[in-house]
This record gives sequence, C-alpha cells and structure tokens, in this order.
Amino acid sequence: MVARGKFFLYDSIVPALEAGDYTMTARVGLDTTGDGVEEGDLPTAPLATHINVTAPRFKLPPDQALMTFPPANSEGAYEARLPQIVLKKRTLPWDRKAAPTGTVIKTQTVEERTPWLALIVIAEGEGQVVHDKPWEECITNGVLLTGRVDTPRASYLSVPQSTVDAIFPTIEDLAMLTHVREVNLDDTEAAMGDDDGFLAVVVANRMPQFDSVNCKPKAYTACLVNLEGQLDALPVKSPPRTFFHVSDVFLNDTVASIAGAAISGAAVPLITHGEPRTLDASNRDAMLDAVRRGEVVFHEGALMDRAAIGADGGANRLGTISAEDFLDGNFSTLASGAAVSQSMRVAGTFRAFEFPLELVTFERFFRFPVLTSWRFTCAGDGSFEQLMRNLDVGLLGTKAEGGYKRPLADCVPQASGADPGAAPVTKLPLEIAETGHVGLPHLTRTGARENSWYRGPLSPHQLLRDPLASDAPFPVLAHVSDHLRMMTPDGREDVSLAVAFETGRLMAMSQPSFVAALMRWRDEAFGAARARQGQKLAIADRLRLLDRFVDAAILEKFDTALALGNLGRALEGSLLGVIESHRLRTVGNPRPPVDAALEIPELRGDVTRFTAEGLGLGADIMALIAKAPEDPRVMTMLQSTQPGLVADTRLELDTKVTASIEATLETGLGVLASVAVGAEKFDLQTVERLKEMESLGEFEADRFGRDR
Amino acid sequence: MNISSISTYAILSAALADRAFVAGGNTETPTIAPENILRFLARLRMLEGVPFNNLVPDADLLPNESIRFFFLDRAWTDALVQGALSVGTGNTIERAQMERLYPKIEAEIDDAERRYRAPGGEPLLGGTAGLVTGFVMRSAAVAGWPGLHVRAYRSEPADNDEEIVAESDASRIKLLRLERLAPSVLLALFDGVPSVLHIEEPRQGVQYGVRMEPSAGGQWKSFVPARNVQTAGYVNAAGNAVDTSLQAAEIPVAFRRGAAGVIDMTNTARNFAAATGTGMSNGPADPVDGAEFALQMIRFPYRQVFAQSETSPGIQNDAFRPTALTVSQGYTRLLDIKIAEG
Repeated sequence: MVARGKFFLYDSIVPALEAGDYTMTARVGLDTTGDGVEEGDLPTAPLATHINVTAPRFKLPPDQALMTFPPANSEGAYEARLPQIVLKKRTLPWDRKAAPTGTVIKTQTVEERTPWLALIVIAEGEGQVVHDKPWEECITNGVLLTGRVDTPRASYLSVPQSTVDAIFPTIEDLAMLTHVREVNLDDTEAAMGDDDGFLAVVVANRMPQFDSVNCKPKAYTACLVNLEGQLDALPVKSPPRTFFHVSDVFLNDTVASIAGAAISGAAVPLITHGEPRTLDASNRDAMLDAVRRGEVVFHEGALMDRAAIGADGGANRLGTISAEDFLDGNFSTLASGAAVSQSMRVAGTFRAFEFPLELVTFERFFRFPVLTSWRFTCAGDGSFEQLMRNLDVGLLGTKAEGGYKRPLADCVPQASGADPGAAPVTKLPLEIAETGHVGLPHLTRTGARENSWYRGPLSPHQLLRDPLASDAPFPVLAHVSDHLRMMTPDGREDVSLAVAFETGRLMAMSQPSFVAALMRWRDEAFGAARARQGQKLAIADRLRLLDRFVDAAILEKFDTALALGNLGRALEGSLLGVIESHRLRTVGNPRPPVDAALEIPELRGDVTRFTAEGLGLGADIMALIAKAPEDPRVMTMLQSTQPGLVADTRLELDTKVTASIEATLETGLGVLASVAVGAEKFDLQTVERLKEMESLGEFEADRFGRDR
Repeated sequence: MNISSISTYAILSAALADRAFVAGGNTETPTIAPENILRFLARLRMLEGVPFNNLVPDADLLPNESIRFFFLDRAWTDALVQGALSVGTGNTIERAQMERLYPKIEAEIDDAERRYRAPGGEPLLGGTAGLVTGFVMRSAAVAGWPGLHVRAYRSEPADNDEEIVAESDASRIKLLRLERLAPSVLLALFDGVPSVLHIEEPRQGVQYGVRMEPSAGGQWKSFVPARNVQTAGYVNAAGNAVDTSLQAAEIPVAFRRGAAGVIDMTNTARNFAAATGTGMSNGPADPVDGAEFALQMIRFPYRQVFAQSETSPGIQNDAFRPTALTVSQGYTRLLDIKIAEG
C-alpha cells in the first residue's frame, strides 16, 4: 500500500483481454496408452463457454469520471495547466485497441501501451459537439467498428482536418498522455472516491489560452474521444518549436470569425443551405416573436434582422423606427412591404460549440465519438501565485489602495489618467484612528447628529479583555438597561461595545430556538433552584412539626434532602417506610394471590370424548393421544385423519321473523325507488317516464316537494 | 411568617455560591449553561453571523486584493455574549442570578469556543481562552481557489516541511474558525499569535503544467523544472540534486506550429530525455513513457508564507517536493506480478 500523501505512477496497465466477445473452449483428453483401447473409441465433447469482456465505448458511465481539471463550467487562469480527467477503472484507456499492436501509421508504430482514448480540448469554432445521435453517425464515414456497442445513441465531435492537424496528439503522443496513479485509499483528497486505489489519468496536450487577440475570456470544451479505427486521421510529427505565438490562439480565419461572433453575440451571416424564412414586417405578432428570439434587434434607431443577409452582405436592415415605437411593438412606421423572404437561417448560430461547421468549412471532416465532455473558460486574470504575491499585507486599520491589479492583456490600449477604472469618489475620506477606531456618523437617541468612534471586534493591537478591571470586579455582566458607551478624550462617544451588545441581543432574538432554550434553562435550572430555596425557607424553622410523623433518625436526612431539593421524595419515602412497618394496622389483610376457578358444568365427564366429538376425530386416536402424546405415530395418524362430520342438525327459523325481514326490505326498497325514479314500483314504464332534471332544485321539488 | 426579599436574596446568593444551579446531573462535567446555549454563545464568540459591516465597518479597511491581520477584541465579543444573554433576563431577581453566575458561564464559553471547529482525527484542546488573532482577506484568490489551506505555526517549520504536522502538534496554532464570508472574503481566527502563516493553493488532485514566460513579440516560452524520475527530486543543469524548483534546470517545452498552447509531446519528451540527470532515456528500447512524462509535468500547489521575521523567506516557491517514487517499466512489471498474485 502506498503511504498517505504519496503516490506511484505507472506507465500503463494493459488488461490481459481487451474488450470483446470470447469463446473459451475446454477439451478433455483421455490417455489410452496400454489399455488396448483406440483413442477414437473415447470421444469427449468440448465445452464452450462464452465470455463477454465489456468496457465503455461511446459513453463514459457517470461513476467512472472521478475528477476533471479544470472543473466543469469553471472559470479561471488555466493557461499553464494541462486539462486532465481521472478515471476510476485503471485499465480503461487500454481496454480497447485503437489499432492492432504493431501497425505502422505515418511512420509511427502502434504499441501495446497506445491508448484508445484521448482528451481533446477544442475552443469555440474549432469543432462541433453533437449530442444524442445514433451511434452509427458518431464515427467518420467509412470507418467500421465491429463488436458490441454500449449505447444506441451517443455524442460525437465533428472537427475539420485543419483542427485535427493543429491540436490532436500524434500516435506517439498518445502513450505519453495516459498513465496510472496508485494512491492510498485513506487519503480522501488523492483517492477521490476510488475503490481500489488505482486511477487512470488521461491528460490533454493543449494548455487553454486566454483570448489575447480580443482581450476576452475564451471558452473551451474538453472531450474524451474514442480513437478506435481512426488513428490514421491523427497528425504527423511536426518540427519542434520552443515557443507559441498569441496570434495563433485562433487556428484560422473561420475559427476566428465564429469565435468572434460568439463573443459579440452576433449571428454569422451564412451563405449556405438553411431554412428559408419569411418575416413579414406588417405582421406584428411575427415581428414580436422575432424580437423575442433575438433575430430582430433595435440598433441605433433602426431595426436589424440579424438572421438575414442584407444587400451589402451584412445584417439586413429592415428600416428606421423610433425607440418608443419599438418598445410599444408598433412596427407600422417601417417601410411598407419590408418583408424578408430570401434569408437563410441556421439553428444554434449563437452557440459556438454547436455551430454546424460542416456547413461553412469545405474541408474533410472527422467524427470522433465523445465519451464525456465538459466546458470551462480560461479567464486568464492572474494565477494564484501572482495574486498571493501581490496581496496588500497589513494590520487592520491600514489604509491602502489594495494589492494586485487585474492584469490587462497587452492588447488592451493604455488608457490615460491615474486610474481610469476606479470608482468615482463619492464620500469623505475615512477617519481612522491609530487604535483601529473609525469615525462614523451617528444619529443619537436625542436626535443629535454626531460623529462617533467605532471599532469592530478586530483590532490592530493586543487588548485587555476588561479595560475597566481595576475599577470594577471582573467580569461585569452588562444588561439592557446599562449603557456601554464610553467617552473618549476628544469628547466623542465610543459606541463599539454598545454596538456589540446590541448585535448580540438582536442575534439572539433572531433565533427563536435560542430564546426558547434560554427560557427553558431559566425555568428548569433557575426556577427549580428557586423552588428548592423556597422549600428550605418554608421548613427552616418548622422541622419540629415533622417530629410527630417522622422518626428522629429519618429527620436527620431531611437536611440532605433539602439541599438536593428532594423534600417531597423524602417525605414520600418516610411515609411509605412507616406504612410498611405497621402494615396490618394501617392497610389490612393482604388479598390471596390466586382466586379459585369456577367450574363449568358442561365439561363434567370424559374430556377425551368431548374433544373427539368436538373436533370430529375418531375416539381411538384421542385414546392414543391421551395414552402416549409424544409417540410420533400419533402425529402421523393425526395427519392422515379426515375430520368427520360432527353432527347433523336442522335449524328451524321462525317464519314470523322471515316475514318481518322481507316486509322491512320491501318498504326500504320502496322508499329508495321513490327517491330514485319517482315511483314506488320500479318497473319498465317508470323508467321510460323518467325525465331529465334541469337543476337540483327541480329534482328536490319533484321527489320530495309533492305530497305522496 | 414574613420572609423579606432581602433574606430571600441572601439565601439565593448562598445557594449560588455553592453551585446549586448546576444544570442536570447526567454529564460528567456539569456545566451551568446547557450545551446548546453554550454552543450558540461560542459561535457568537467566533463572530458567526455577525454582520460583516460590524466586523469591517468601512470598505477602505479591506480594499481589494488585501489581507489584514488583527487581534480579536475580547471585550467586544464579551459584550456580544452579554447582549445575547440579556434576552433571558426579565426582572431584577433574574438579573441578580445571571450576574452571580456570569463568571462561571464565561469560563464555560471560553472552553466551548475551542470546540467550535473540531476537525476529525484531532484531539480537542482545552484550557482558558487566550489571545485570539486572525486575518480577513479579500482577493480573487479566495473566489477562484475554493478550499485554500491555511496553516499557522508557532515557529518557522523546519527545512524539511514536506510533512504537514497535525493541527494539535505543539508547533501549530489551532485554527478556531476558517470561513468564506463572501465569495472573495476569507476570515480566519487563530488560537494564539502565529509567527508564520502558510496559505496554500488547494491540493485537489494533482495537476500537470508548465511555467510560462512571455518573450518579445507576443511569443510565450515555457519550461518545466527538471526532475530526476528515479528520486522525483529537482536537478540542476549539471545533474546534481537541488532543493527548490528555482534552482533546477529549465527544460524547454516544445509547441506545435500554428496552435497556441498545443504541446508537441514527442519533442518535449526528447528534451526531457536529453536533459542531464533526469534519468530518462528516449531510446527505442526505453522510450519516454506516460508516467515519466507526467512526473516531469507535475505542478505542485503554490504556498504563500507570511512571516513576522524579516530574515525568514517571504516566499517559498513550491509547497513541497514531489515524493512520487520512480516510474518505469519496471514498476509496471512489479504491478503485473502483484496482479497475477491477486
């Protein structure tokens, strides 16, 4: 086991069997030497066992990704860090083969340790991530995958050749981008919820960069892609270069324009296939809908249709309109007939990772299945080290401008002035005393406007716990009616402690549970103690009175009982003691522990016979049971016995009773029928004469109103 | 018989003196105040829930990107607690009781405030309440790196501070409270006056990266400090072991043409293998493998040291030296054997 806080790194852990379907055939051979038996006379059938080695292929099970760096949807300065994903299953990157071992592709040899996974980091405009498509569509056309597929619908990354050449790793790079880390399972920080302590790590080969061309944070998507059968798409080895250029942050013009459009929120005018769209400017509802969708925007006194192409190739200008009219949804001032019908629209134009690149770039496109992907943004505003080294350090009460200024990229034009980004000065400079007190405006109880000193609980100096210790006993409990204000030598009030007291009071009041606990405490501890003292007071000079009831020996214990507040219990105890010692005199004879039972006359006679008759068993079995209850044969006999008929008895019911029941039933039915159908006799004619009631009132009048 | 309120008061006072108000009898060390009340008051002492404006009355006291150290004003927190206790006292007799009890209650809160933050696996520290210090920090680092490690030391840790001693160790000062009050404001309270304070980048997992340096004309160059993959220690250009990454040889990182930030792994690996003392080779028999590459690229969290002494180094560059053991095909083979043995 690895020590806590340490870890081992392994280049690769290649499983003995890669994922796929296997048949294991077992054969038994019989040695026939010397028996005079021919081998063919003893045939044995082979035993075939089918084994299916599974591994994720198109979709990463959610429990497999233990950690991603940078965290999903995060924003930060990741410029000098390589994105990575930590996988739970240690063999996952080698569970499949991207190509058979030994294959030579573009002068690079596929080795056993070459993984089938790669972490690709793409920026906006460099590729398209498409989700929820049939798995057959998730691979480049012409690439065939055999074997089982773990999900019918998957995601894919569609990238043009130029992107692949620029950012994808080469085959030789792949092996360097994966490794296995062994950590201590108790080290929760390192183990991250793994079950065996071995984690597979896939690192990307690209450090996300801040967009220093546009001075904007840049969004990236990291995709864990499946490279099976597509190793030949990967780029060839290139000559080395010891630097990179910030202008290369966009791979090419297309990428730059799409990324720029994504930043500015403008749609990219596409001269391409799309849905024809009709926008009729005279149709108010259609126009409002277009405004809501963001297609039609108000810009500098004109209405622009961003999804259409104007005559000059830019956004289409629908016409001038005043801001009031636009807000009112009144488009009637637009030039009549400013309808657009020739424009093209492409869905998802404003979302750069879903931009259908295949429609605008005329290059060869590759599709790689994406097992998992996450987004993050490289904001590039200073690393942790920069921030911490430039912190403004001081004791509280130091007045300073603050430390590290957000670094502006080189591209930001130098603005003139002292600090053009600073907030306008709207208040007087803060009055800070050397003791850490600040002067704050104070409206006193009497209405006077003063400037009082205040210092919070944080002070730049070490302080005495009780500044008045020499004058008053320590500690002093302040109360609501006290005032904790102090006068300072300059004649101004110091309200620090008063504010603290009031804050504490308000915080206690704001928590009903605490107030309740305080009340309970007072009732239970203080109230009970007060009650005890009350007892003591009441009895203090009346102990003589108890002499009549209590022995002198017990009386001595009363002092202890009083101190503990158990007077009631002590009295109770001594009373019981007295009663017990004179039981006969005080209480009388004890009740006998058991009452004599009553005899049942019906059970007089032979019990065995009664039981046999009652249960319908034969008398012989009962005799056997009575003779030898533990004999197992008895049980067998009991099980095989069919209980017989006990007795045939005819019960005669009184005919008067039957007649009475029937008469009552008839009357009841008649009442029910009269309410339900309006007649006492329920027959076919009654049902045919039924009519629909318009209201409940009518129904009531019909059924209950008339005199029947 | 008439009992005057004066004699009542005398008897009550006598009872108070011999701890007649001890609540309950079921705990081993009975406290006057019930545990839930003590907990609330201890939280108050730790300034929990106190409006930020009361702590830092003006934004000028804590500008952006600043850290401010302070002593905690005990008189202030006592007044806070007294304010809370005043809620439960309505009449004179209750006030008299509370006044008599208050010294004991205060001692109990002193004890309880150390229990406010009790990290698992650390023994509880007790004793009378001493001096409490702390800092407030307002920085983008607090917002961007959640889970900062804050450690206060009584004395400068020894040279070899790879091992982080437990918080209950004598050289450490217990952290009484560490909390983000706002996305970018961090408040920490210490149980004493630290002489050295470490604030360290969170160590969530291990990260890989390079050091970047801008050069002329919008170009960026990068390098990694050389490490020996056998010992994981830094080595200088001559191949000798050195202590910090600043002294280590800088191995240039190769990039791919036409794409900012895309590392040319193959050529970078060649540079790694070519550097003296890294213990790597790039021959056909022993190519640079993923584990070796990862080890060279490991970036350790940055640690900022605040120290009172002028002589102690203000900045220690890398928080600790990597202690990963060597990584080679040999270990993979060892692992294979382990797996085979089950």
